[in-house]
Amino acid sequence: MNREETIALFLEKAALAAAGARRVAGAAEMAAAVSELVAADLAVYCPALSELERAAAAVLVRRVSGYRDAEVSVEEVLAGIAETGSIVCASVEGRAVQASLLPSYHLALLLAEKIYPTLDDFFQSLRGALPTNIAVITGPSRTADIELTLAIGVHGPERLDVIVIS
Amino acid sequence: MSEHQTSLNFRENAAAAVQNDSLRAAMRNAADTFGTRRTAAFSAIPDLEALRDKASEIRLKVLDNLPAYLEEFSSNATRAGATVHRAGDAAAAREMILALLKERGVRMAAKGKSMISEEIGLNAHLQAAGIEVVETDLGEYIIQLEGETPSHIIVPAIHKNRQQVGKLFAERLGVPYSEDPQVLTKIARKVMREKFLTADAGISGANFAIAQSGSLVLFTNEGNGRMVTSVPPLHIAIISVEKILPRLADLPTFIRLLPRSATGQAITSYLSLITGTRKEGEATGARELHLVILDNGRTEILAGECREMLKCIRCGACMNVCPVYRTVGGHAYGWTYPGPMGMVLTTLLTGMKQSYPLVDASTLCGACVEVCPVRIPLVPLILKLREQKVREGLSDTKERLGMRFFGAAVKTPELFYWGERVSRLFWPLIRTLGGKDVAGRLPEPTGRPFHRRVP
Repeated sequence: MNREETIALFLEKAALAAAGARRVAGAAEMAAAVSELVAADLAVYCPALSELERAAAAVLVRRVSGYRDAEVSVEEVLAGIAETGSIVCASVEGRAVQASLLPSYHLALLLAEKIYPTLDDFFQSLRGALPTNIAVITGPSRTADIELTLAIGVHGPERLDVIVIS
Repeated sequence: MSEHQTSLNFRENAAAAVQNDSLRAAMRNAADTFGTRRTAAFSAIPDLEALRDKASEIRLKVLDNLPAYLEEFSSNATRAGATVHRAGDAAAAREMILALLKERGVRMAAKGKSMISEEIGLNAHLQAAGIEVVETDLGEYIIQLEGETPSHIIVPAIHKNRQQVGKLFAERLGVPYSEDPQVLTKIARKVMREKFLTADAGISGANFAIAQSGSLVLFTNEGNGRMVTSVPPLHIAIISVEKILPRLADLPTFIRLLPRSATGQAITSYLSLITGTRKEGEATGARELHLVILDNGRTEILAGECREMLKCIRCGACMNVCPVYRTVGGHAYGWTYPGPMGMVLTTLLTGMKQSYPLVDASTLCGACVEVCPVRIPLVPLILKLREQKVREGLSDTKERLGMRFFGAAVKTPELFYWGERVSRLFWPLIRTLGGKDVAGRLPEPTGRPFHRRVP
């Protein structure tokens, strides 16, 4: 699978898992997408730990410092997995894995080159001592506990969007 | 052992279940939905049979080297900051967890879904000691409100319809009645959020424990599993000895099989890997992690002829396709685990004397074997248990006599021939005397048996 095919597969699988997935070229296009997706009146958590996050933070209107009170979380994620359309968050670089869990809208920024083609590729990339929390996330929080009827947004986000940046 | 085992009443339980119309409707819906979803999910996997072979092989390797893998897991988990405890039986595990909570002054614990905790009757034990335990999985929460036990290992409240859940929420939570699953889900989200953020401890199970890294692996959809394992300062996880997978590289095989077999998903919304406690520079993770590794009879099963049962990864696919489970539901089995895997595991874990009526809860159709992602030979295992039941003298006297008589008759062609003639002759009498319960279930003897019609 070449790079283009990997990205295409990721976008397809993420959409199948009810995540909004789109592809942009470069940080400027990404920032435009972020401001389009995040309504101005929402409280947004964005840790601004990376270049991409700082570019996103610049266009966010109402930023809050804690993820617990945020309605939206905008953050760069560590990796993507094309096979399943998943994104990966972990307790590294001082990041809180709950930032992808508590707010009801999670907007993930993913560099295209961090997408692994398969689950095997991703798990083989994990070497040495692991961080305390690794979360492989595929679509929004969901349940089918009542009559096997799908309901979205139980304890985690009811909406997940991924912007793939190449 | 969970105290309230009623497996000995399986026949009575089952007879009552088939009279319960809402249960029958719920089970029918579940069976159809599960069947369709599972088939669709696996249609995208071209080499399913090879994948099942591989999964079975890995699980067998774990069983063959279990003590070494447990040692490796324990030492790696300890290195990552966890404290590992081994519990020989259910009582030991319960006491251990209660002591951990008490020593730390825990008043309220948020709990993720764990069948092992059901197996050891953990909630009742903690609650009796004054600790509030809140089930946070939606299905588990529903049955906790109702004071019931799970009737399915994946979808615990599968026996309830939306009207029943709506009524329960309205009565117990004081919310306006709704039967819309989306609305009910939102109500649970609101109630539970508060609990997560204020819980002193999180209690969870795990789907797998990775020997190589000392990590716990949890497959969840709702996000409650992530909450209870990472938000409270104290996390207690209870797993049974056979949950081990050797390496991280083994995970993809099980990620491809478990969610597809369980719910027909290509992967669950969340897959959490938890490795030890919060390390320097980390913003999240429990400050204290205790792993309770439960044996509860498994080492003994491992030494016996039914050891392959321990390959089970708890996907629930066997119950979804089982004609008996689909008819009577999970509660009839009378203990923690229902369906084909449940009848075998219950008998092995609780003993034949406590559960022998369960070994009849199968038509031996083999649908469970067809779907099992790790190729557990459930039908041969059920047959072994049936033999054991007879050996231990627990079968019905009339059944035993009948079988002995039949056995003798089929060994002698003359006797068999006369048996056929005589039964035909006496059939009107048998039907009159036997009533519908006996004669109604027997096929009417034919004048010319099949084997005489074939040249």
